[in-house]
Amino acid sequence: MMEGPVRAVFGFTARGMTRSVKGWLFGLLLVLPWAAALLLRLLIWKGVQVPMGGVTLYGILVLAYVTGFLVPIATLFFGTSLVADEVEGGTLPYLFGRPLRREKIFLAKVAAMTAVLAAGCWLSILGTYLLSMSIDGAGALGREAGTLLGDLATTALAVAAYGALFAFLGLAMKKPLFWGLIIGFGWENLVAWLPGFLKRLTLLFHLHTLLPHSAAPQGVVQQMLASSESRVIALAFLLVYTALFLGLGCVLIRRMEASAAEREEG
Amino acid sequence: MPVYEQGYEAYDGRRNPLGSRWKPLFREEILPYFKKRRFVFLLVLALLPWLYGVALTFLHTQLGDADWAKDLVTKLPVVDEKLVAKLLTNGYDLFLLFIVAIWVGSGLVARDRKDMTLDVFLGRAVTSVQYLWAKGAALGVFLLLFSFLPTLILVIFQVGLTGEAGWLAEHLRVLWGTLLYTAIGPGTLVLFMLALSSMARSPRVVGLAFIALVFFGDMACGVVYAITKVSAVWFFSLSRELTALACLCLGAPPPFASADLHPALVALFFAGLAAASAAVLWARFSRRGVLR
Amino acid sequence: MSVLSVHDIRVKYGSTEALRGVTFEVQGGAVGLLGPNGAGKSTLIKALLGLVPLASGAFSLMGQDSRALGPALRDRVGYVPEREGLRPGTSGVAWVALLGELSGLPRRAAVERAHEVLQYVGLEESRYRNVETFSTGMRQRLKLAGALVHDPALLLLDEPTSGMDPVGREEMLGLCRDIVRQGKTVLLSTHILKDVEALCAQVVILHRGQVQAGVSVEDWTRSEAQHFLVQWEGEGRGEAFAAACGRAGWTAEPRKDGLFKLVLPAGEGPRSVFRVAREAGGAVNRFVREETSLEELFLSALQKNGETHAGL
Repeated sequence: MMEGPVRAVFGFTARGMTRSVKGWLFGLLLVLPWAAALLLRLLIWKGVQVPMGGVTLYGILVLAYVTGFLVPIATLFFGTSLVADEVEGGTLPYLFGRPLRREKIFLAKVAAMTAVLAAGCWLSILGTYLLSMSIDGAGALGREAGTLLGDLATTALAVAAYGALFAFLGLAMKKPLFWGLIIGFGWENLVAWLPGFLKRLTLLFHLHTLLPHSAAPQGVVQQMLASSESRVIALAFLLVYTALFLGLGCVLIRRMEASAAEREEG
Repeated sequence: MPVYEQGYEAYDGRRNPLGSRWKPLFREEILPYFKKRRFVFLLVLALLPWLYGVALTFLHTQLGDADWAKDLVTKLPVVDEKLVAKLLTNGYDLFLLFIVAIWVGSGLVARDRKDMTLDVFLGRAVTSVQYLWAKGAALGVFLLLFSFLPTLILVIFQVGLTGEAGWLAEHLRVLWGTLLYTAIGPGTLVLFMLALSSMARSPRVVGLAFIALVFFGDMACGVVYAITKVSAVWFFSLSRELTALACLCLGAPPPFASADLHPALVALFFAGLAAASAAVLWARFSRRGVLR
Repeated sequence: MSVLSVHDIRVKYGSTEALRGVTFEVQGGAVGLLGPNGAGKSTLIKALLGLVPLASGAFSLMGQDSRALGPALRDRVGYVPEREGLRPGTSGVAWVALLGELSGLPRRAAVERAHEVLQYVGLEESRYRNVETFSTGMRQRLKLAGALVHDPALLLLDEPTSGMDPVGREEMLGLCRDIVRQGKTVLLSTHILKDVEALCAQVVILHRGQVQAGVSVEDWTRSEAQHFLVQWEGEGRGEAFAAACGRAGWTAEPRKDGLFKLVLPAGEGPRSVFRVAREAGGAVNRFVREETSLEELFLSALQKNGETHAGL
């Protein structure tokens, strides 16, 4: 499916992510929900009165932690660094000097980042699901399997959308981290919870629309979802959003090469 | 023609004392930011909540005695230590404080390491202590702008609109409390950013590390609290501790359980963070023979 | 009074000893600090600047102990770093003026002085450009200007001609010669032997953190081994002559058409060569004395340590 050089770019980007300090940090972020679930189990086992069951905990962790924090921060870390690391390390000329279109390099890197982060998030969600759902009994594991599949799919979409956004910012901005924080944590977290139309411009709103936690027994999770939008529209928004920023990123990386060539000629 | 035929001239003028050599570094660190429109815009953004305070001041002082407005004005919050504490530590202001800490603080030492100018600076008659003081003071000035300056402006408006210093005499704690908060809270943040920045060669990595530590810390505390309902877990949250510190300094009631507000705990947090940061800086710079 | 006196300094990075008892003196002029990569040249320079702590030993500048001088020592020393060492986004004159201020010059004097030294190094037309737009040669000259702005007595130059084209290199070396003519002392750390040959009267060779040799270049080229090019005439291709040289304890390196490069110890001369040629059944009809190059000094110094250094 992928031509050889594209596969190579995909491969070394993915390997670099998993072997870097950022990769280790990401790993640490992945296991927090597991620790939370284990803590809940421990408290229940010790007979301590707890404010929620496993299903609610799972819902909160997926909504508030995975989609509201883990995915934005992980994609911010890796997305803004995709090309910046190559520039800082002085390896961009080597990449650009290969007989491979710049857009393909960019897309291969974004694809690698999406694959690695989605796989990591899936691992986190699966572990959380097993550890927290089983608190409410083995039956809950089977009953909420549809929820799990929906969460996995939505998380992958979230990684793709945020990843495209931050990869674009990494190319477009001199201080992508600053803008990424403003947009990813400022705008997204602030506006997504406001009433009115504005929240429809955020990723978080559409992701929450897709997340299938509609029948949580204790109501906490349901309260967090205040969306009456259709899932089809939410899905379409996310796909268009992703495609838009990937397209803009391709345009920028093509221009990045041209301006470098102009400097050399000058 | 060989270039050196332009002639070399010796310098026999005066030299500034050794103790003042940090000043050019401090100046060079601060001035470029004021030339950036985005940074000035950020400063303006940070002052927006304080406009609310100014508006309240105006309403209380100018319309407080008007019959038609009396009922409305008495329902509005008064400008006092409690309001200032809220303005200092609301989520919006803390977020901007962290943004500035990252924007200015992440490059303090990391940029010099990246450009390999650290050895150039320390190869002058500038000691490591002076270098760190210059860099830390630069970040400290910006954090002061985002905390103490708005308070000062509010106080000036309060005194200016009433035409008397009675309010100030009654609420002097607003000034010294904010100064104390700025010295301890943002002051510790300065040390922390210096330490983080000294550990990397890329300001971007420093920024990411700060985000990971601070935001993740807050998130982890939130998750554990949601499960256990034990408020003591917030001890590890920087934003929570800053809020607690502001409330303690200004004598305002905190927006959370007062059991977590014990001064000893808050002091322990900031002392611990400052000590850890100082230890990192010592480890990074004591290898150089110019610490003195 | 020597300008720089280094006595038994040791520097450790963890458990690795980067400098192992380095001792030498610099009376003045230009001194070359030679050594292969990893010899400890940059570490020595950083130790002299106080950028790395000394595990033991001491050094003095102008007869004053460095420990007594403290940070003030660096007001008398100028440093050209090997790599980068420039702040992007700053103009050339602003950068040099900043360095001047850090060395104690008042602001106005620093700016004036920055203009002067930039003119001296030939960057007067580019001084308002940002440093990241400078070419490699311009950057090296800018760094030199930064090292000169506070009029130091001693200059520590770490690979100052690194990455420069031949013309730029010549100009840089010309500047260094003029700086020495102004009465300053230059310690030139480099692995480019030609730069040292062109500029320095004295050379210190470092290898694995130790001084292998510290001599005046002129003294060396006249002493110790003598190098000759001789033309052998006789039967065969000169195998007998080469064997006879070997028996005499000389090194005979055959070149083309009967030409030999001979290395004779001190005390041996042309007469010995003619005698050996006769014994080998032939004669020498051309005899040219070669100046010993610094490269041979360098390799010889390294070989004393029981190894050769490939690639030089």
